[in-house]
Amino acid sequence: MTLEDHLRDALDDLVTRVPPRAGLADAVLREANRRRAKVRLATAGTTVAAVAAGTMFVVADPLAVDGADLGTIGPAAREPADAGDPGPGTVDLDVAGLAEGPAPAGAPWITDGVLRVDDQEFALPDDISRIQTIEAVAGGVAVLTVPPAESPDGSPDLRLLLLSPDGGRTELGDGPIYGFGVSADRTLIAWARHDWATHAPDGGPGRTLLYVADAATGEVLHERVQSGDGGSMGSVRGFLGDGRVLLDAATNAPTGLALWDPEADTVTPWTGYGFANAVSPGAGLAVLSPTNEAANRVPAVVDADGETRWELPPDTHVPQHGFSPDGRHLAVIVSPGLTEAQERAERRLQDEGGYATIDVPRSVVVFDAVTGERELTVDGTEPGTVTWEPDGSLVFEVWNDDRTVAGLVRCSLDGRCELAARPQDVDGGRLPYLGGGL
Amino acid sequence: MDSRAESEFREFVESRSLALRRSAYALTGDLDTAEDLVQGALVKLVRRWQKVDNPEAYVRRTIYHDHATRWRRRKIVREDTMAAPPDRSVSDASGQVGDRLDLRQALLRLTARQRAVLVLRFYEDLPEREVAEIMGCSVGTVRSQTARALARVRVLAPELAADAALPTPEEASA
Repeated sequence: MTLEDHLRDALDDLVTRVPPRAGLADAVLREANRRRAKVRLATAGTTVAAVAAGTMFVVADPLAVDGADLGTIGPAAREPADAGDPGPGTVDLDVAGLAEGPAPAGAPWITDGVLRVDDQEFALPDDISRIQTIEAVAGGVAVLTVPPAESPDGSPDLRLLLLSPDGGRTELGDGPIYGFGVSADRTLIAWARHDWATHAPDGGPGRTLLYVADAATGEVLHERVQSGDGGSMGSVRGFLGDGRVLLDAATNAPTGLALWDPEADTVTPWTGYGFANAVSPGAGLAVLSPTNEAANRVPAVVDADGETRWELPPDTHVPQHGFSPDGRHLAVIVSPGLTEAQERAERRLQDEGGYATIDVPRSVVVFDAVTGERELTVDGTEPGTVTWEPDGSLVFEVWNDDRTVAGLVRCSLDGRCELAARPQDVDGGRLPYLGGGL
Repeated sequence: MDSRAESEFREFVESRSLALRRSAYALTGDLDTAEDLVQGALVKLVRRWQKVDNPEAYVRRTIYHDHATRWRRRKIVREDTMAAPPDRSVSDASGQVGDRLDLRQALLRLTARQRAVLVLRFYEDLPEREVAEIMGCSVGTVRSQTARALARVRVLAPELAADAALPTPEEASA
């Protein structure tokens, strides 16, 4: 019996756990109609027809097949979130009511198939869906992408490129490259390429090559080979402010993090945390998560001395570029998760033959990065990627509730918000925009 | 959506929803997530019912894309190629049942893209051309992804692979 035969049997066996379910068509049509009732926003290129209550924005008439129904109006109108002076605290965002502001500044973003940073444009190396990470560097942008092309000896896993506005393209590496970091002044870029031909004792790659290069030219300035017991250390997560590069192990069973000092050519163990979620090169702070086996899996903000400053709330998603450029603020996405009562209710409804899921509200929350004090909470959107502009404004993707429309919103820390890119239809998974800080 | 279109849509859902939900479950390994993906894809299909030539292909493509780009309720636990092989389990005398359990665990440790290519190829039995269309890549990429995913399964489920063909050197180093 071949492995493929085993696979077929295992998959056939696995899916028998999915029972038939009656009434799905009714549930889908009800859901579509429910969303139609909340319609209150026209797609880009049309006119906003109404501003209504509720917390989601939805493209006009999702059931229509011949264009937007601009006459559809939802429940009673209310003031948009940016009206007046909301001050710091909580903002209940109504995307439909936001004024249109300028495009994202100083931060990379993609629209119409073009990667932009301010007035500079860069040709995308691959389809937008293949872009993993973008970050501005001195002289251009660095892009980590999954290339579509394959070679006879096997397709490279990922490709790290430097792009310049004159069309220049420098390939820094391809293969298993799981991330990269950029120094605070954006002149240096660090990355690691893993070699899975052999395995380290922790199950990670048996060999890892670490690099630091000039971010403008791509010239490699420092290089180090990790092998043996340290072969899986590690994936580059970012610069920690003093020239050291934060590494985490390329395995799901890490025993700690390490710091690479390229000048001294040393890699030293740092903390017992398992993973690094975000790093602030400017402030020497990082958000770290415990290992998968830890009882308390709450991420925490740790300083360059390895001291834990404060813990984030449970059910927090920390964006890779959640730290503001000056490192004083940390933007995250907080979801309260389902309560036990909600889970029971959901299960009961499903057992009764109906389809039910309970939407979990998600908030963009900005904390003081050093103290953990909550500075701003933005409710009312389905947030996506988050990034910061150099002046300290937060830019994040917003989605409607069925993820068919996406736009970009800018909020200042005093709670004033505006559109940085008008919501557009997401067509069959094709994204209209992609904010930086993925 | 007029009554005729609604009737056609209902017929499509009644006839294909079990297969779609099973595919989504094979893809995700999680019933709730699978239901979420299928219902979300069907709601999108309602919007485009009169524009879509092949509803099933559209739904499958949407499920795949939504799963690949999905981060809602995402946990911090990594699910990518750096997954560690599980400890070797004691050989199970019950044979195939144990093998299936190992294989299921191995599948859940693959990347979303690797799992997708195996599900589309070996559960759906789709030809490489259709898999490429759904995944938005070339046929060559489907082949290389399949080889790499199989090689990864062999690493993750060594007992299972013991009686299967040995990987090529290229697969082993993938």
